[in-house]
Amino acid sequence: MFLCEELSANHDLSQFESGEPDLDDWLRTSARDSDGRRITKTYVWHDGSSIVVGYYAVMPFTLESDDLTKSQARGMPATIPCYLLARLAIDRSLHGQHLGSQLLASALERLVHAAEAVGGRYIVVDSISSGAAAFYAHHGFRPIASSPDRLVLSVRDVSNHLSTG
Amino acid sequence: MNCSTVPDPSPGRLFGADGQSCHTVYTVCDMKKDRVLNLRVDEHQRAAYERAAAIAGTSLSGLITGAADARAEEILHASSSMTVPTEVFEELWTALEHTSPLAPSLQKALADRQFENR
Repeated sequence: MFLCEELSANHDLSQFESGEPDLDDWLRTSARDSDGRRITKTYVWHDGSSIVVGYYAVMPFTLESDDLTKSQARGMPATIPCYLLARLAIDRSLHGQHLGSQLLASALERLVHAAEAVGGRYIVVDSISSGAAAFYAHHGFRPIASSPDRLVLSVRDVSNHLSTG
Repeated sequence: MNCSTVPDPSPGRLFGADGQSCHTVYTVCDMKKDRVLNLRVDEHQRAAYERAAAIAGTSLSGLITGAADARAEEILHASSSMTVPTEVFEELWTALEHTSPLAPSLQKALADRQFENR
């Protein structure tokens, strides 16, 4: 069982290596600053030892309904409140164990709780590679009309599943 | 061309204030009037129209086209709106707000959780 909590000064980021240098560097050099300025909120995974083995960063976001497919935009205002799952990465040592799905589930659960408190229609991801796009598509994210690299998942769908599951 | 939009009964919404009908916005264009429409009417109709036009302070053409515009709009509006009983409306609304099941992989991840969010 992994513990997921807000990034703090107590977490050891030094050993984290996901295989995506940009994601690793951001966690080590920018995450605390970004969180401190209230731009993002970063959550880290560890097994109780405080050594971080996974993380994700989320932030409020908006989408323009013109950028969405017809079904995604149906009944929506011109500007739609959303959440951006800005970064998500897991340590190499845990690859191949479906823990990426677990990390994603952890993030979605948090975002659904946020949306229940303050609203928000979609969870948005910008895939940085075809592999990442395939990962998100496999978990139900669908591309928007204006950009194939940007995918969304309905907060309501996740929320309904969590409340009925 | 000077175009104006007939106000939607429910701006920004799919359903009207009555909660039971779907609406479409119509655009009425004040185009150059260079087409002729010949009408056959009897003497009584013509007299009645002329009297009404005089009272309304408009021309005979203005009276007739004004009435026809209003009726045409009414018919066009009715042809693209749908009034349904409340229970049907509720079903329709529910269908539009229908949620999709999550992808099996995500369902599995949420079911087999190996994390504790704090």
